[in-house]
Amino acid sequence: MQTPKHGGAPTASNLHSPQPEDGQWVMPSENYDATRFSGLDQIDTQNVRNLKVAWTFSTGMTRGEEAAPLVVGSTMYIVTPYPNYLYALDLTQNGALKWVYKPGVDPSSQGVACCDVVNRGAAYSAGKLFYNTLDNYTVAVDAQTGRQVWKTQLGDINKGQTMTMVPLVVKDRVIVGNSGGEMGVRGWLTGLDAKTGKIAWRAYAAGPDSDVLIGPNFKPFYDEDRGKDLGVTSWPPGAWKIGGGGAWGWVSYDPELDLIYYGTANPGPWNPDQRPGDNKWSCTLFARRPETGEAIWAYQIGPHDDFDYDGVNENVLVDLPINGQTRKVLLHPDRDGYVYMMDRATGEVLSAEAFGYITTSTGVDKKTGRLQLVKAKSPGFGKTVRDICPASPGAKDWQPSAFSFKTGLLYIPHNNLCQEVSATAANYIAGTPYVGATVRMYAGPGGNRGEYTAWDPVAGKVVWTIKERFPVWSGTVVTTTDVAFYGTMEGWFKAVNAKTGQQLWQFKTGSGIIGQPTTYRGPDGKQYVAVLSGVGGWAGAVVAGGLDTRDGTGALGFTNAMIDLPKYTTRGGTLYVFSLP
Amino acid sequence: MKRVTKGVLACASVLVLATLASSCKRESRTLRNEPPQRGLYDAARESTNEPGGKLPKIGMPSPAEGNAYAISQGQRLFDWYNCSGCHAQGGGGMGPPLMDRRFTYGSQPANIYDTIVKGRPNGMPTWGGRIPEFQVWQLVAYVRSLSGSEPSAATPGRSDGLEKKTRAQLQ
Amino acid sequence: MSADLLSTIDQCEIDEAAAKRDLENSWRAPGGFIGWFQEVNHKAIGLRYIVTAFIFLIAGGIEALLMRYQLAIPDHRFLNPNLYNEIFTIHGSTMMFLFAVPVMEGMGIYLVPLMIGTRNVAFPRLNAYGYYMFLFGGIFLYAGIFLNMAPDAGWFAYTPLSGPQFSPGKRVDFWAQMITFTELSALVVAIEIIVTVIKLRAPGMSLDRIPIFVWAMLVQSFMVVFAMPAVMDASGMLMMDRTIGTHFFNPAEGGDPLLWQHTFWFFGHPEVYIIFIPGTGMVAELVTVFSRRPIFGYTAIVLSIISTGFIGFGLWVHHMFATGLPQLGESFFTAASLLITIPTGVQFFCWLATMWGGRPKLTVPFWYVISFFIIFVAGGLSGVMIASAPFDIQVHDTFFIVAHFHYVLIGGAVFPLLGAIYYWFPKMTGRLQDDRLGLITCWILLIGFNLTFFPMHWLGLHGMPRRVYTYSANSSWASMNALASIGAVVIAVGGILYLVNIFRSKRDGGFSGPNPWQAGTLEWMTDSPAPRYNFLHIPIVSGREPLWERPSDEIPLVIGLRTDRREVLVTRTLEASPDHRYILPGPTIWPFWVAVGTGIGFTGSVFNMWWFVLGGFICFVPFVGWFWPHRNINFVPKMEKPK
Repeated sequence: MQTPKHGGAPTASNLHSPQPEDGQWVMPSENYDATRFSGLDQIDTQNVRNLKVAWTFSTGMTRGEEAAPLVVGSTMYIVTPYPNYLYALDLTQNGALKWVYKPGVDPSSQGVACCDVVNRGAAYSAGKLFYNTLDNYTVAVDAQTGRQVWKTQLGDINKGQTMTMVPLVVKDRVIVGNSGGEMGVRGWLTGLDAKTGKIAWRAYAAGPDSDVLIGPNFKPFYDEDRGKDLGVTSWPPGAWKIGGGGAWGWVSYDPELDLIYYGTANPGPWNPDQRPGDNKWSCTLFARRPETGEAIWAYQIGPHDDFDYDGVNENVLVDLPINGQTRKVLLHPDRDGYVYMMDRATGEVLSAEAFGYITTSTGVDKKTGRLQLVKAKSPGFGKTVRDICPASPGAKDWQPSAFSFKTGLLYIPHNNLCQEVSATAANYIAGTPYVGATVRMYAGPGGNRGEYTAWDPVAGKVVWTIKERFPVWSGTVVTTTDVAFYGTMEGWFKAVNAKTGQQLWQFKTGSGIIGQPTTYRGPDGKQYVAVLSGVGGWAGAVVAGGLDTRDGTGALGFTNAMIDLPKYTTRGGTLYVFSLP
Repeated sequence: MKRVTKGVLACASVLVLATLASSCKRESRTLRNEPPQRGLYDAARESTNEPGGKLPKIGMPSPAEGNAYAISQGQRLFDWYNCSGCHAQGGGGMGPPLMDRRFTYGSQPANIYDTIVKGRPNGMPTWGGRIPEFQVWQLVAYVRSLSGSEPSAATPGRSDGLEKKTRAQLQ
Repeated sequence: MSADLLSTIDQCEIDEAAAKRDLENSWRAPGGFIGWFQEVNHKAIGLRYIVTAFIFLIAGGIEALLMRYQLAIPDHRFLNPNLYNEIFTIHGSTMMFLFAVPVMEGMGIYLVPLMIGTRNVAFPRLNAYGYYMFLFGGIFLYAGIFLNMAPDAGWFAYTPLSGPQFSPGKRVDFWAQMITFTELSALVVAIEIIVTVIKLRAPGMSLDRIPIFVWAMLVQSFMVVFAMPAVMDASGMLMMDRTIGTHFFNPAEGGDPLLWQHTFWFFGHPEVYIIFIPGTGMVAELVTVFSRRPIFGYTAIVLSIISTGFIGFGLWVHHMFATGLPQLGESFFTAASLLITIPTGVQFFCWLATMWGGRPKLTVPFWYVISFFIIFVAGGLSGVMIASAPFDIQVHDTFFIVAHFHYVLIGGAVFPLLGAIYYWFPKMTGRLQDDRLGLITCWILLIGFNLTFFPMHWLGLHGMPRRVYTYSANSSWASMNALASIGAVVIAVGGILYLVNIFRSKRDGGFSGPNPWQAGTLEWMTDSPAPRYNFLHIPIVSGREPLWERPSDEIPLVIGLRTDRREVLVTRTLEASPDHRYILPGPTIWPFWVAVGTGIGFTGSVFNMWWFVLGGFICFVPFVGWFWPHRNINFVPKMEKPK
């Protein structure tokens, strides 16, 4: 098989052109292509078993630590969950605290954060760190001094909005999106001026074309995504104003095509009977110009989403040999259980193969691009639908996958959950949940709630799978030496052989891991692996929020699948950094 | 035989009176409510640390306490005002659980009333001026019933809808 | 074999006086206050049923008057909505469960052994138990009112309204357990009547000679056996949903609220015929007697009653036309609902033919029959209208329905019942009622009834819904409501006059003698009031109206049954030829204590299901007493041997 081209690891100085491995980790997805592939080679399948803790750092938080530790030069930056502190740690002194930036987040924002008060990290560009706070501010912080450069308010907690995603900095634009699909927000993606923090553009996920920034250059591949003002006409009157579709996941960027890629979240409320229609542009993959936000193409993965299958998962941009020719593709492992392989220039679905157990759909129609739903599994008023697989967190939630240029495989940390849903009438009260469903999740076939899967995107099939007791809610990283790292919710940090899936090493951290591991070259020239431990997130809310496990419908039904988690882990955020002795 | 009869009668009347006393409050229903009386209620204490010794009890008792109809209405309102969106059926989610008797800001009806009306700093919204006072009391009664703080005879055995009990389909 | 066992009075010398003394002794009533609880005689128990049911009728009537007073003027503030909900629920429940069914059962328990010529019902102790269950159920419901726990979800307590979420507190539990009490009682009576009719008929009373009222009670009892378990299941499931959190009626967990409607109406529709069929039996008896000729088309009438019993089970879904049934289901049950008019029509024409061919005597009971004809035909016509689904959906839940079922239930059952009580009153008391007062009462009731309920058709067609506690002055419903309320007062006056007549006649009425109406059935052969053993000698029957075939003193009699113990003659099912003797048990207090145990179980389970288990254990002790094997299993008094 032809070796795929390396998508390029951007450096601190120049993010636009592909560079060889420089040992830094400047954005949570490592590079614009979101491959999370590291060229560092000191740690390999042979010596990984000797990995030891180099140093640790307590974040002082008790909520879910979903962020990725960034490394720029000799400094590591970590963002905590609410109250969203930004710590700068000196790598030359085993992580001694350099400074801490406290943005002063409104505590009331905790009450509108759907699934724990997490933050997925900061992005570095041109001497500044950019990240979002729970109460809807984007801040730019001087990477050297920890001083605030600017702070811009983008949303309002009284409308149920929060911000938890990682910004992506492209050229002069800081691209951010909002969360709140469970609170009846109106979702958007916004481009800010990186120097001043001024809002340059805002692209809504629903509404008239002018709001969605759909213009004459908009060329979706499929007929069903073409038409005027679909963001209004595919909703009941006015429902698009509170229809969700936030952009709380990942944004990736192709410098050659000059397109950013991201997915929009689920439509609100969950009860599908309250919003007949395709509900565009929720659960949609968008390609936009970073400068202006103008939409170039869109593909609605889940028209009229019935199951809270947000489309926000990462889009890994790689060039793969398809039928004898190299194509620029986008790999999108979606919540609905399929890995979508798409032509990232046109938005054509090249393949959509299942990586999880699915009962809700039978596949994607290649002609129309439409997901073929199983009618019997659609929830609605007056019925309880059982054995909905995957459950609302999807076969895979936000936890980002990694692509190895060495093996050509995509490493997907994911879930194996099913659920039963009873739809109820949702009332819209601004700033309160707007869900309309009572849910109970439970383990899918096999009884294991999590899986770590190596996926061959060209063949469209699973190469190997590791079963885990709990959902694998952490990110993952894979190195050129065929070592893949991920964490489990019990607190195990694991290294596995990227070729075979054989476990090579594991270490028990203080709390469940839901963070994104990163690896970097330290000032001393050694390779390190860093990960935040600290259980939480939607899956870990039962521990992080101290929920009562007697109510299985708690945490939007996730409690039912996680009633035994409190027996395995307690909360508390700590950074762990590992190295070879 | 006469004495036995008398005894039986006495027992029966005591039983009837006891049931009468206990059921009156539980079963009464107020279908028309007085207009809200703002400012009538305040001074719920959240701390048991009372410098200088225990202070005399003040504050108005809950008009809905122990009343089955109020609890039932409270349950309905708990969904209507989207309380259930955060607190689920008592197990919590975005908000803390309400069924474990651990109340951060006090478990007395007055405390819960305050929590709903004034909000709490870590996320609980303030509902004062949005929910009529009698409904707040109904919500208070239902919230307390979740942790078994209301008499079981006044609390429904189950609710219509998906059961909150967890399903043991785990490993 | 019969030649050995039986012989006629002509062939044997019998000491009449000694036999009478023996019978009086062996069938004597237990005395004193405790004796009241030991009573097992069918006439005493039957009368208790009737009197208790009438007390509940008065209570239900007072509730009706309260509602009519509330609705008499628009925007009336006499009853608040909560109280109104409670009152219409108790009114409906009382009338259906505590009056209509029990009073018919009481009439059956009282009259069937007399009409078929035997001494008691088949299981006298069980019979006593059944009455206590009924009594406790009624007291239980009314205790609920005074404990502020009166049910308020309507007499059919639809789920989910009656479920744990929307009917908080213990109100509906009281209703559900009242159902359990009274339906248990109904089942007991049904079994009594079935076995009594099948096995204890006088010799010669083959199936084609059974009086039509007895046929009606037999069919009604079979219907009870099949219908009541459905509603007991339903109330049991409702109780479990409410107290221990089962999900029978919770759709989110696999239950179905329509399951309630199906099980309830599977009982509820046959219930209408359970009330109505005894009424037709009474009408048939009255028509026969007062037309002074045997009934026309006996076989047709009996077959009609039986087929009514069958078809009655195929109609329940027409109560559910508004629930969104499949088209085929609606058509099927529309057809079945129209079908049931055929047997009813057959009976009507047979009665008309009987009157046509006879010489009708316009006595007071006959006036009640005439009232029945007028009202019931009207009710039947509105019934045919609502049997068709499209019309039904239009008037569903309006006063049109209220008007309809009061026409069929009061017309079909209460008017015949009032006539029947007037007719059998001499047999019960030995005295005659005041005919003039009786006639006035009948007319007042007929006028009052139509005044009350006829305007309700109009109200329903003009959109007035049921179960609303008041209505706006702008609604144009005021005048018809006022008329209905005036009618209710007229009915109340009629009811009071009816009771006055009964009480006055019981004290001062003229003595009736054994057979004041010159009727033909067996109960008129014995004294009025009937002795506790019913007949000095069991008669031998050779026709449908034995007393019209020959003078009462020429009727052949059974001799040879022992008089010093409670012995009855068991006959064969078809031909009623003598089979064997059977000794019935005597008075005992144990059924009462079993009833107390059952009552504790049912009552306690409202609060905690473990009481149900405890009640079972409490019942165990008196059961032992009840079934303790005695050498002489009956009540044998110490006595001197007659010479």
